[in-house]
Amino acid sequence: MTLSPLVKTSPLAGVYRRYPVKTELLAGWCLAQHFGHPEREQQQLLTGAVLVDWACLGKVSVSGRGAAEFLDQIVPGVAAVPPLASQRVGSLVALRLTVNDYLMLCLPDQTDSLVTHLEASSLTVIDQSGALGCFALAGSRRDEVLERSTALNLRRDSVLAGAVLQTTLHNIRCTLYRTADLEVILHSRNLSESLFDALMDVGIGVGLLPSGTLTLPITLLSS
Amino acid sequence: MQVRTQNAWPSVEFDLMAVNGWVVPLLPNLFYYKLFHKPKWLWPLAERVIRRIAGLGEVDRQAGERDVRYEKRYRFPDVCVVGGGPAGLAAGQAALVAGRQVLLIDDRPQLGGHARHSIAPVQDCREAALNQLPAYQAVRQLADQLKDHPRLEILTGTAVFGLYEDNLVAAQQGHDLFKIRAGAVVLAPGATDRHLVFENNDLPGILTARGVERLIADHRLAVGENAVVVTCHDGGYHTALLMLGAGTRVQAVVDARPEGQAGPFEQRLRQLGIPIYREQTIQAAHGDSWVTGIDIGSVDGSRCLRSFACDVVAIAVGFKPQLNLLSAGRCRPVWDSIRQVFRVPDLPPGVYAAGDVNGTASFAQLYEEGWVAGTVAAQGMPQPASERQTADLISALPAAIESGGTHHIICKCMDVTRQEVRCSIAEGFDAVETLKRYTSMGMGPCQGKQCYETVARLAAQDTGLPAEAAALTTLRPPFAPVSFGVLAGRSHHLQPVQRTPMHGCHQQAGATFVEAGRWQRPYAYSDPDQEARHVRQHLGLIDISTLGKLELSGPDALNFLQFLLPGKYGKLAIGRTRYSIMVGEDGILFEDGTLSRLATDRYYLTTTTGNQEAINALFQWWLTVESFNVQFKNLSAVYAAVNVTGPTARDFLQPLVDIDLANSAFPYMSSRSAQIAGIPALMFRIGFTGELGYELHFPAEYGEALWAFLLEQGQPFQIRPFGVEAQRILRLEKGHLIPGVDTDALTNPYEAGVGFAVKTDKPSFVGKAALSAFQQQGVASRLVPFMLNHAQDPIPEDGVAAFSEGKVVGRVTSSRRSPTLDKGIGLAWIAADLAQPKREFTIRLGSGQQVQATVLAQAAYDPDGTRLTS
Repeated sequence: MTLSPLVKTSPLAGVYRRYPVKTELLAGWCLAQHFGHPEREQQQLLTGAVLVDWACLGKVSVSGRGAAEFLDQIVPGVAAVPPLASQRVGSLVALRLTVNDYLMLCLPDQTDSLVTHLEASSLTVIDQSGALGCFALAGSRRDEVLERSTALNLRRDSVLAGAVLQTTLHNIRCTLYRTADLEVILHSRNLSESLFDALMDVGIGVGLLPSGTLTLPITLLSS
Repeated sequence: MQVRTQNAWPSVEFDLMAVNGWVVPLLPNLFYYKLFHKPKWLWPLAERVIRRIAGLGEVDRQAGERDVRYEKRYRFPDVCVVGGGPAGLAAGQAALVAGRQVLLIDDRPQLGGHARHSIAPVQDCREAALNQLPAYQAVRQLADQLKDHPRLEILTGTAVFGLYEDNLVAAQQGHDLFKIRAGAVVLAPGATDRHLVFENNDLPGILTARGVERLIADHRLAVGENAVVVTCHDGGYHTALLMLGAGTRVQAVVDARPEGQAGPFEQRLRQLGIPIYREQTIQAAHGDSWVTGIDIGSVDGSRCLRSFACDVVAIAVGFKPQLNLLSAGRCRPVWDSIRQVFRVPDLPPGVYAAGDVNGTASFAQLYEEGWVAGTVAAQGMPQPASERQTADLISALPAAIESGGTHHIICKCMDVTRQEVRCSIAEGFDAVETLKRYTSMGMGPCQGKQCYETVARLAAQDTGLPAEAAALTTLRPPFAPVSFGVLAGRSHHLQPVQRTPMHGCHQQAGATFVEAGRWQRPYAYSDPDQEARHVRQHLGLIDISTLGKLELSGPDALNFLQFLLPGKYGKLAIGRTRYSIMVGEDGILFEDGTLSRLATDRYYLTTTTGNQEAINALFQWWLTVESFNVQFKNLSAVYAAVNVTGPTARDFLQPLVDIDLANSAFPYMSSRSAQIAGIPALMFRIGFTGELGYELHFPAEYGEALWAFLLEQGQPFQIRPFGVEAQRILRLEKGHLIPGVDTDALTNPYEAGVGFAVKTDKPSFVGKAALSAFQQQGVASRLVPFMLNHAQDPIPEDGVAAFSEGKVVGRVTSSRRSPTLDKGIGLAWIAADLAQPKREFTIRLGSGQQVQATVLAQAAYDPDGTRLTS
């Protein structure tokens, strides 16, 4: 029997059906390229805020004693990074969650090789790419969305780019990774649609638009 | 704005309820505590009438139906300044100069506070550019300087209603609730006009001086035609000048102070020929629905000297600080006999006070105090003591002008009179807190903001205490009205919904959903009975992604499982699966699932949906406190899972996978790694439904694709999805229990019929001692499958009682009609002596009807398990 390869679906597949979404295949994932208004979405990135589905982002958790030393060979300097901070090499980002727990982020096509490499160690490695949802929140007014979503102090002069926070957004546990231009919000896949709806609900007032990879390509992770 | 009367009937112009003004004085003091209590039935009626007459507010029952957006927003400034008057603006400016991030909050639409209405020139101010400017221009200039500062956020039209521990400031702006956690808080809420008690002081037309100024300056309104200004400081003359400028005829200014040097505003009024009466004050107002005249006389109320016809009276008898936030239930204000106000001299660390809240002062002094407060707040230093110039202080008039009459209102919100306070004190309520509770003073919409000072001063005066001993009641938040909607926020964010990876497919298939914890699971796609029947006859597909999925590996994985679970797994061969239960240290059964050995040191455990997170946490905890060399992976969200079940399951799946599914190659209670449609999957041959079935666990991101693939490929086999209700029917036909549904917090494994999963002949494990004790003591009741005797009998509800010979012998835990057997079946707890095969018992339904049931020896369906194992 000859079968066409099955596609990986985003946890927001249900949301896609509510919008005139145009999808694209990205490393086997069916992801939103835009939500029906590409020009408006790109404009909103400049003047408001956009919420982009980055579910396809590679997400690999690594934990166990010696994790820092092992990962330091892949992401130099990560062993010296304190918990709740990150280290980046190219498009590979290591988020240090605790002393011995890391979450590695990478581009979708790098995931398999990263997992293979990591599994060679005695560490506990889980490919969480499908288990975790991932949003990129960007735009000049993204702070206004966050201030309505969490009780955590996210002031830019105290939570700097590169910081990692574990908090709840609308009662949903999230790991928040801050870059200079956007916030990466990682959360359980099962709650992704709920979180999307809650963020969009509070974001309406500041012009938050759902958007796709056309507005915010996933390669921006490495920029 | 929509304005409605509260307790006038039929209208304000023709108010028949005004008769109360005559009746109430004839009744005993606070009559509602004393009358209408006998006979008992009278009070509920009287209460309704009194409440209606009192004009209490009404709950807006349509509020929830309106499309109102309630937001909760958070701020984390270094310095939060409450109050946008001269002191607040200066504090903000100083904190900005010190390099801090500042949040400035004011309840008005524009910054400036009362200075916005003042034409008094600024003198000797630290900010030289402001000197000689009228105060209203000075604050405007100050606000303009600050408004675009990058480190300053200004929230106008925002009411701060609470200050809590660790500098948590709660504020409301429209439908938004701001929760502000500040490094330091500078409180500059200012002061409001002092309340003066005299006869008929609640008549419309009697206004506070600052209220009049605000109407003129902010709203461009001339208030009345003939006015009298009652004052005891220069501010009254300022008000009179503004009124003149707005076109109101000021008939007189009545000043309680003795003759002295006239200030610039008084001189101007004298030049304009406005009569000024010194050492006198208002004694009574006259009028029916509006003030039409007043009497003035000596300050002690003993002599009436003149009367005026007027339609507006502006009262300017000093200011009382807005102490609510400073007090916040923690710091009790004290009477400052020099400044003649209540003050809070000592504040908690991190809280600072500046401006009129410390007593009245000139613009320059307010600015100076604000600047210092802002500076020390930015640096986290203690605040220097507040200072005031003698010339700026205002002597307080007596709290009440004792000129006779019975309508001296103390609390305008609750209509409490001077006479009622006197009587209440005479009745023994002579402490200010009990006086407040008895009379309801300060318990109205303003929460005592208007009357708190008067109440305290009069209570002290009437109980013979010196002014310094006057005590305020405890000031508690909320200090400004705040709606429940604002406090609650939006409800639907409180309960996020968990969806399985195939949720969208279920929606498209028209499934109805049921909540299982936080999960939404398909209840059914059509008729659950039909779905169950279809599984028995053909092929069904169910989403079981909500199961917990845990993987344990490493040299100590087996030892850890033997320690945590009551079973023995040393002989569990690779590729085999075993039913497993979990008990607590008390031996109580709380969980079941399957344990599969995937490799020499690798095991895979499934848990029920409801216990998924708890079991994960439990495993993590034991691995932390015990030194097992185990790698533990919670794969619950990593894998989606389906169960393909029905007589044709093997025939359907065989061409789709890369392993041999023959019974000999993949027998019942086995597990295998396989590829299905190119996707790596774990396959388990187990049978919760009682039919030949295969569980497939595979990466969650393929959930929708594989679900659709299986439905498409299964068309020749008439594959259909089925929901949890059909699954419940199928499992009951097979007699499978569900922990938490068929068991409770007292159930041990032996009673539940799963004692076979307990092996006490192994070294120490969790719950061993308790299980051994349970084993020795025997069972008092058993969980048994049963079947109703008659096909037409209605199905018992879950939880109904079981009887035998008129005595309660147990209860039903789950029951459904079996579409296969066409009879009611279920599980029930029955006393051990009756829980024998073929014993009959009676079930009393919720309706009271009784039905007969028989205990079954084994499952109602396929008791030998032939279908499962074939």
